[in-house]
Amino acid sequence: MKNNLNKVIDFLNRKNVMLFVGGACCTILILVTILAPILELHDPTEMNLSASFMAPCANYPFGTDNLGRCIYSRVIEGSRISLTTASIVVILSAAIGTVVGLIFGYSGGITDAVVMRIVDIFLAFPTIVFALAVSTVLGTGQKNLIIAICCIQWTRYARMARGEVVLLKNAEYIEAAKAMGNNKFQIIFKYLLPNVASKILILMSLDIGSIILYCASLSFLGLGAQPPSPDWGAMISDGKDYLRFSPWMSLFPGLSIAFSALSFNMLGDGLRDLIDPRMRESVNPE
Amino acid sequence: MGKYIIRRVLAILLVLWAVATLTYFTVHVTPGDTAMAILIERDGPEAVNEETLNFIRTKFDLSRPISVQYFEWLGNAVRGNFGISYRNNMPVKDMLSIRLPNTLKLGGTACLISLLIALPLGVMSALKHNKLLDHLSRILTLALSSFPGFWLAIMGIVLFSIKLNWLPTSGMNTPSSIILPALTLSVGMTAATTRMLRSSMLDVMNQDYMIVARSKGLSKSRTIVSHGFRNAIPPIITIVGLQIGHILGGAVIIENIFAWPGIGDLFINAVNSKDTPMIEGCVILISFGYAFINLVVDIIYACIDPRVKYTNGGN
Repeated sequence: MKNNLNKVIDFLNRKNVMLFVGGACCTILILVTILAPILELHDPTEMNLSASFMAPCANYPFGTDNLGRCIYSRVIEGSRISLTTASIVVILSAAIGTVVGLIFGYSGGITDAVVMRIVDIFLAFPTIVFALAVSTVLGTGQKNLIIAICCIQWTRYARMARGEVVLLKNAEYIEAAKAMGNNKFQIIFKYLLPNVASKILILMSLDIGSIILYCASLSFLGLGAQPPSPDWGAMISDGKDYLRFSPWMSLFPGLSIAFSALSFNMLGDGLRDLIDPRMRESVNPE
Repeated sequence: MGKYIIRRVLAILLVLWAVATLTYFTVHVTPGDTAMAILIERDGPEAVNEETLNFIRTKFDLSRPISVQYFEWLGNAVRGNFGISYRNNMPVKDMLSIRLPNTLKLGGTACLISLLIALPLGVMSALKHNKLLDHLSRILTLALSSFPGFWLAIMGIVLFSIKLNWLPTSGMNTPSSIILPALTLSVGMTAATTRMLRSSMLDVMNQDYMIVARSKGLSKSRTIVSHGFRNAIPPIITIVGLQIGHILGGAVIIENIFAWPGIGDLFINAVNSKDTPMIEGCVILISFGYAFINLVVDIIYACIDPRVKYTNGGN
C-alpha cells in the first residue's frame, strides 16, 4: 500500500500531470461547447410549467427549474456563453495590453510614464467594483460585460509586456536589428513581440479561469446575458430564491463554473511549468 | 527612507485624484435627463412634471455646467462629502460611515481565517516538497481558487442553514452570523496565499545561505524558522495586500447574498437603483481602501527588505 502510494507520488513528480489533466478537461469542455445541440436532451429555453421544480431524474438528469426548463440542457448550452465570453475578454485584453505595453515600453520617456500611471489608476479599482460601476453607464448585457472586464484586464498585459520590453530593448540583437535599418514598428512586432509572446500566452491561460469566475459573478448580479439565455451565473441567481426545496437549480451551474475554471487553471499551471518554470507564482491573480 | 515614503504618498494621492475623476465622469455623466431619471426611479413616471423636475434639479444641483459641478463635487469629496443619496435623501457620507465598520469586521475576520490556514499549510507544503502533503495541498488550493465564492456561499446556506440548521442564513443579529460570510470570503485568499507562500519558501530554501546555515550546524527547524521564513515573508506581504483588494471586491457579492449590512451591500443596491452619488461614494471608498493598503504594504516592504531601491519608486 505504502509502496504503491510512493509510486503514484513519484509519477506525479516526474510527469507534468497538471498539463495532461488540465488539457484533457479543457478538450472535454470545448467538445461540449461544440457538440452542445447534440448533447442537449431538451430545448434549453423551452418552458414546461407542469414539470417545474423536478428533482434530478432519468428524463431530467439535473432536474428542472422554476419554469420547468431542463437544467442539464441549460448548463450545456451555458458553456457556450461562458467560454466565448471568457475567450473574447482574454484575447481582446491581451491584444490591447500587449500592443500598448510594447509600443510605450519601447519608446520610453514621458508618454511611457504617463501610460504606466494610467495603468496604475485602473489597477487601483477592484475588478468587480469597477465593472459594476461601468455597467451602470453601459447597461446590462453580454457585450457590456465584456467591455467592463476588458477595461481592467488589459492593464495586466500592458504591465507585463512593458516590463519585458524594458529589459530586452538594449539587447544586442535589437541593436543589430536597428543597424540593419528596421524601423520602430518592425523592431517591436518582428523582434520584441516573439520574445514576449510566450509569457503573454502563459498569462492568458492563467487568466481564463479567473475571468470565467469574474463573468459568473457579474452575471450572478444580473449584468451578463439576459434571460432567457442560460447563463451559469444568472442560473445560480435564479436558484437562490428556491434553495429550500430545489437546491439543484444552483448546484449544477456552480459545479460547471468550477469545473471550467479548474480546467483552465490546471492547463495554465501546467503550461507555465512547461514553458517558463521561473515565472511560478509571481504572476498572481488580481 | 523618509523621501521614499513621501514620494509614495504623493503618487498615491495622484492616483486617488484620478480614480475619483474617472469614477465621476463614468458614473455621473449619464446620457439623457438625470433629473427625469431620478424622478422616475424614486416616484414613478406619473410624478414627472415641470415643478418636480425643477425641484430635483435644485436639490441635487443638476442645472449648472458639468465642469462647475465637477470642481464643486471634487472639493466636497476631498472632505468626504459625496452629496445626498438620490434614493433615500440621506447624506452618502453618513450611510458610508454606518456601514464601514461592518465591512471591516467581515473583511478582517476573513483575512484572519485565511492567514491562519495559509501560513502553516504553505510552509508545510514547501517543507514536504513533492511529497503527498504537498500534492494534496496544491490540488486543494487549485480547486478552491476555482470555485466561485458566491456559489460556495449559497451552497453553505443550503448545507449549514437549511439542512443542518446550525447557522443563520443572513443578517448580523447573532455572533454566529459572521461565520458563513467570513469563511466563504476567505476561500480565494487562502488558496492564493498558500500557493504564494509555498513557492516563495521553495525559492528561499534553495538559496546558498540556507545551506550555509545548515552546515554551521543549525537544526533543520531552526534554519527554516529563523532564516527561511523570514526571507520568504516580503512576497507574502505583497500578496496579502493584493488579496485584501480581492476581499474588498468579493465582499460586494458576499455581503449582498448574506444581507450583511456593509459597504458592498450598499453598493449593489445603489447600482440596482442607479443612485449615482452613492455609487461614487462606494467606488471611491473601496478604491481608497485598496490604495491605502497597498501603500502600507509598500512601506512595510521597504522597511523589512533592504534590497528595495527607494529611487525607483518601489516598482
